[in-house]
Amino acid sequence: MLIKFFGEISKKDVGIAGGKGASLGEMTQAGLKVPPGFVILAGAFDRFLEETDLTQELEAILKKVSYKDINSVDGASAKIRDLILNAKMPKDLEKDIVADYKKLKTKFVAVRSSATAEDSSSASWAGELDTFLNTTEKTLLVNVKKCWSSLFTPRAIFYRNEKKLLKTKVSVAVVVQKMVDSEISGIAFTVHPVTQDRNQMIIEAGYGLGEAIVSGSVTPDSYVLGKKEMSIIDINIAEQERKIVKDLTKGVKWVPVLKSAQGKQKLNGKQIIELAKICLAIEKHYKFPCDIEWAFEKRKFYVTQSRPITTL
Amino acid sequence: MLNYLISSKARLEILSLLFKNPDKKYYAREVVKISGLDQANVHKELANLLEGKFISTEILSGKKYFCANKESKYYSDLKSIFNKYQGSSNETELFCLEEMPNYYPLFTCPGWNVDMTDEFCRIYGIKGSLGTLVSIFNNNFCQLITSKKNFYELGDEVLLRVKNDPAWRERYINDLNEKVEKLYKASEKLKKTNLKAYSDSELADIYEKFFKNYTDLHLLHIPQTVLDFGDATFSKFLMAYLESKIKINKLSLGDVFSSLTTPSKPSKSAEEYKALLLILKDIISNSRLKKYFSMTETRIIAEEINSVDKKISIKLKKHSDEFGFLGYGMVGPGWNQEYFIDILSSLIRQEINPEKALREIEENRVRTERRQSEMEKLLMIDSEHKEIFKFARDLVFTKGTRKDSMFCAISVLENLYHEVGRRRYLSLRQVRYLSPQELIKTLKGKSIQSEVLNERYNFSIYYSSNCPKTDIFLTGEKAKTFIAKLNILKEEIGDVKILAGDCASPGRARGEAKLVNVIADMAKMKKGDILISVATTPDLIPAIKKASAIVTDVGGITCHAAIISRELGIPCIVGTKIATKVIKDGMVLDVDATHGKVDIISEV
Repeated sequence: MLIKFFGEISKKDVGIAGGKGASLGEMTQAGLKVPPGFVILAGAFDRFLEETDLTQELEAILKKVSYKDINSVDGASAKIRDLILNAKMPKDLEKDIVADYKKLKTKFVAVRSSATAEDSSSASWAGELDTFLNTTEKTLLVNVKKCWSSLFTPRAIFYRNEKKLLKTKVSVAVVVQKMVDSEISGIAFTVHPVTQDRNQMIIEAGYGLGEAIVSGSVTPDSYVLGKKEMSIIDINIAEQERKIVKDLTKGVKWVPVLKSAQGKQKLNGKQIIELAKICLAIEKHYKFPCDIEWAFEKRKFYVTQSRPITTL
Repeated sequence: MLNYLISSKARLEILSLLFKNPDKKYYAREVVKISGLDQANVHKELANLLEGKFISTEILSGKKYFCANKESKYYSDLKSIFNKYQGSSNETELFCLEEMPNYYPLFTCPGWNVDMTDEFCRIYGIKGSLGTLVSIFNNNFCQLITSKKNFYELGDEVLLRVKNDPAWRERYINDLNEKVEKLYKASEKLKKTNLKAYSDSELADIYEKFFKNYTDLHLLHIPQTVLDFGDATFSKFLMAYLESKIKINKLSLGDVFSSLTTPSKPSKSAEEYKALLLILKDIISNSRLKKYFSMTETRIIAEEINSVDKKISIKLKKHSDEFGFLGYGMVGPGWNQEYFIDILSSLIRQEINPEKALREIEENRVRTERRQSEMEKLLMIDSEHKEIFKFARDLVFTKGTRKDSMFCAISVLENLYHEVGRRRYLSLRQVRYLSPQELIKTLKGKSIQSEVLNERYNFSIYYSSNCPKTDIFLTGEKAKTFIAKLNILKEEIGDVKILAGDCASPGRARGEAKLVNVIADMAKMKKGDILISVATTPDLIPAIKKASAIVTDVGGITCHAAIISRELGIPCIVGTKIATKVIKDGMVLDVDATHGKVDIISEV
């Protein structure tokens, strides 16, 4: 079993599904509305390396890297990534991935890497790895391999050296998830991130796909809520001139927001409260304030990611 | 329509006067009188038109006369143009009564206000009406616009009553005191009401009832407003009287005026300070506690005080329950325990002796009263005018108590707004942008688009014109078109070196100017700076306490800035009309409040 659907994964599976994969599984099991998907477990990548005899070759390349020399790191990274992309994936694995993809009954999926490490807390480098939005059947297998190879980007190589993770066994799982073509998306903190007031929650919302807000390229609306009463304390509206949407050839693209919609409140009051209740349920599940990514498509909210806020 | 061609109103009116009557000659004062324009503007425009050779002058028996210049090559053209010009008299001339931050629909309610004024005039036997009231909301700023003629006529009418009718004065002040108490009681009751326990329509009824108490008091603002805003009619009348009296003495008018109009009764804020001094006394009588307050961070004291000293903790809680609303102003938040702890710690560090401070407050009160009777004697003020000055003091005092009571009501209303917001998925600000009538309708089932409420905050017009009870709220393009059609008088500002206004609290100070209109502006205030504001509000008290002088655009002896500055002994000039437009942050000013003059010493 090298592939597991979200419903079969829980937070205990960080070691095989990575942080992101485990969290999506946990939320699905908790009954939250998560876009359906599966995780190609880290074992699949390990098997791929073994069957293609790449393990020793990669180790040899990494051993020769001089970390003081950027060119040396870049060179090693390019070499390794080429090796991975050109190597043949085991036939049965290929077949399984495509079959499971078909079970999702959707054309577009998001393919993301979800790193694993024996010491799971040091694997919080998930953000360093890759995401491929709007992947189709045609690009599915290539993007899975790209996710695998993202374990060896120059930044990831540096990071592992810096965090002394070279000796630890690190691997990577790949999350394949139905794309939510969100009209509106954003982030929620179930604790006020500035005042750290645990009675308040902040929701940020913007037009289009969530990447625009997560990366900080647009200023979102922000809504402050009182958690006890579930009431809206404050609504701050930000003008949004452009948004990220699905693109058939490039995956995603920036487009302008309709002039008449630019200064509008993104979610109405009822929707804000509906979303806040979902976020509160997540917090209750984790028994800890959470940082949540959400999406809104065809009048439905989806949770695309959530993690306990560990910096409190 | 000519005003679209000649945008300066003064220029248009002067040209119209002179070219419609080309054979007549006018001296400058006459032009001012006929046109109703501001004297400085008339002089400026006359000089301008003279330089352009459109008009000419003649000296007759030592007086300078102005007339249309028949030698000008444009003479016949201008004459024919202005013969067609009807003048602007068919459109109501409107003026901006005040421009305030944080006002929301509850404070303006045009139709209701127009009705209120009529109601007030009926009850109190005053001839007149407001007729038009427009409020423009623009990103947290609100301009209140009304008919200049009606407003000034109301002012004159009320002044007539005030001057001649002692019974009227007494009735008015008594009514005011009664309504203030009633609203406090209603607020106390609403504060204790568990709003969650009521249905939507019951909540609407609670609000409606409370709103009635609020309006009953609000109704009585009219004399205070028409006497003191715009042209400060009442202050001018009192000053003119005093001017005739002090000629023989060498007293300063500002000084005399200020002492005779300062109430000796303590305001709510003065009561608050006295109560705080009593807590201070308790704290410093215990050396351990004294040290704790002077050495510990405010936030920590607020967290720990309950376990450090139970008695003080209870007293602090009671104090902020009783007086916290004084800091609320229009949008809050009010003062909390942390605020009062901060003040107490600071008083301890300044080594303020509470007994001495309390004694001084009392001595001040006695001194003020003594000075008043001394001046009355010295200036030989007759008993009739003594009574009028007493009314002026009452007016100042009750304006304070009225506002305090209304702020208390508004701070309690916040609970109700929260509850409405919770039930209708609206934020506090969105609820505030419902008119009171809409709020009731919303609770009774009418749905409201939150988007509309957002637009209202950004830019909207809320008005009622001659047909009360049909308030209209416009947003977006419609609002812009509506404003363009209004005939709003603009204050014309020339190159100003000296600003003038009325002395609200005497004294002199020099310092750096800081424009402070909203809470966020307070951060830039340093001790000794001069606070410049459209009009001050209670939210700005922390900044006011740092100011070495205060200068405002609007207001007379009863305005907030005047009341507070006298209480704190800070020099203050009110009613400069244009201070906030002329003065910039960082300019060095010399404020001679006693003579009502502001000099700009150096630019930024």
